Amino acid sequence: MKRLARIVVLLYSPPWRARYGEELEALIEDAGARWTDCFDLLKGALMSHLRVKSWVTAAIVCAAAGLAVAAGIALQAPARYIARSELVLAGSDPYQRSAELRNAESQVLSRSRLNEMVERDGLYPAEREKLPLEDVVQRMREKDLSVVPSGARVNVTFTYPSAESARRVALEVARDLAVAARAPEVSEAARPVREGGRVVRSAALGAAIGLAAALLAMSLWRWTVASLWILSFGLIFLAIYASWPVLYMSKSTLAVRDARESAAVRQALQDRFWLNRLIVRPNLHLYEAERRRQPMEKLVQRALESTQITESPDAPGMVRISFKLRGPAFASSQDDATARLTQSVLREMIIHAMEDSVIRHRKQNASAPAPPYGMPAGQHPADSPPITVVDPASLPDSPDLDRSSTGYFAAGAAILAAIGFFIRRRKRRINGRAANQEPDSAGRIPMEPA
Amino acid sequence: MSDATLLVLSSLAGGDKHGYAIMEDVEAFAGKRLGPGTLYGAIGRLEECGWIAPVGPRDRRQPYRLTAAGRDYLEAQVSDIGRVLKTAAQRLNHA
Repeated sequence: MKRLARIVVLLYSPPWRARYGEELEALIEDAGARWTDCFDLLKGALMSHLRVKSWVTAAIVCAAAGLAVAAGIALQAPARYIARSELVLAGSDPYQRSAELRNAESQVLSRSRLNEMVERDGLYPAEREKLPLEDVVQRMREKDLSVVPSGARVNVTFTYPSAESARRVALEVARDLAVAARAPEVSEAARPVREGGRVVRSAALGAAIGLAAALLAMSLWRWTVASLWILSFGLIFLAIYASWPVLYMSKSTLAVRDARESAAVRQALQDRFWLNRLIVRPNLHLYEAERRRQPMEKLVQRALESTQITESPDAPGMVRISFKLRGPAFASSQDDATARLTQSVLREMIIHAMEDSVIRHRKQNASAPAPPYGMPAGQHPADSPPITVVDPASLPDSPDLDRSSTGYFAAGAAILAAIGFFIRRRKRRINGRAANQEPDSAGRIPMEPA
Repeated sequence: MSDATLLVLSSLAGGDKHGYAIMEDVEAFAGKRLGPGTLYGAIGRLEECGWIAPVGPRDRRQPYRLTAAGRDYLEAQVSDIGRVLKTAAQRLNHA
């Protein structure tokens, strides 16, 4: 322990060590060192660096330092500009417009078209040196380029470090989309605007980290044992939280022909009888362990609650479906079996929705009148597919923590830390009383009135 | 001033002492063990205020003495604490 204490002495500030270092080492030699002494020395080393007398000042200094460093780093990072262009789709049927935009997007935002654009305009030079072109284009599509429909209007946004390049790409993509979707109007925003909020966000984060560091140092200084309690419980709960079962979510997007079709998808996926059959399907092993303990109605209800079907009013005709499953407890890394099961279940759901749609349409077409004579194939509404898969069921790659358990963890940690703190306070009070009742002979200050 | 600085001043009021002797003395009269970091943190602050000073040439086991300013400060503190204790005791007796 003495060796560790000597190592901790090395953490003191050099001027302080030059003045008191040898004396402190001599004291450690004479008095020995306990583990609490190492902690005490660590606290002293921290204070020797802070060199401030008031904790309020220390907190303000730390917060200001964090703010300055974070803002400085954010300001050093190259500025990014957001360019917007807008196109207005023709036609009054929102489902028709949505289908046209989808087709246009598949042409204009195809990997080959974007590859060509990146190479021709010399975009992302630094990224292209490090990553293959496919990855750069993928990043462009996911992070920097967005096509957001809002009614008949479609906003094309591109964010890039050069304002001119951002404007050119946003306008080009909007024009290409307009041509592909036969949109009559394309308008360009006045000038690209600088991406804001980043410096403020970073500065606020830096200030918060600085303040938290000051508060932690303060708690270590004032209440050594209490802070150890809090730190230990914090670490234990962090460890449990990290190993808590995580949720795996598979997502998919379907394009539907009209509102009736969207409602039919919802109805098909919420069919309790079909969900029952899905759960007991032998090759799927869905809720296998739970089936032994819980009645089937509960599992069907759980499957219903785990399935989310949403349709954005801004993008009619696009139905997003997701299914989530809880992974095993204490899994240190991603559980492949659960991830694949989640994907398989969602795949089964999509197949069921499509089969249901096909059966329904066959029945309708059998009773529907024949198309007018001379109408070309593919023009009759019955010829267009009622449901198409835009994004197939994804394999969950980054499991999400079950957020519902966060509150329990925080409450548990707080309660245990509070219990520890009160036990310590009570112990101190009892010790104080004992000292008052039996003053020792070693010259302790008596608590009697003078 | 914190608890530790008062304890160090009280210890040095009884005579010149080096770090380990202060630690032992404080443990004996106050029943409280000062950690090495706390003790030398207090010594540093007291020396900075001019309330204690090293005695003789620099040594690994450097003794310290209470200065006149340190004695005045300690007397003022003892008087303040005494007043508070007296009031508290009187109130407790009447309670």
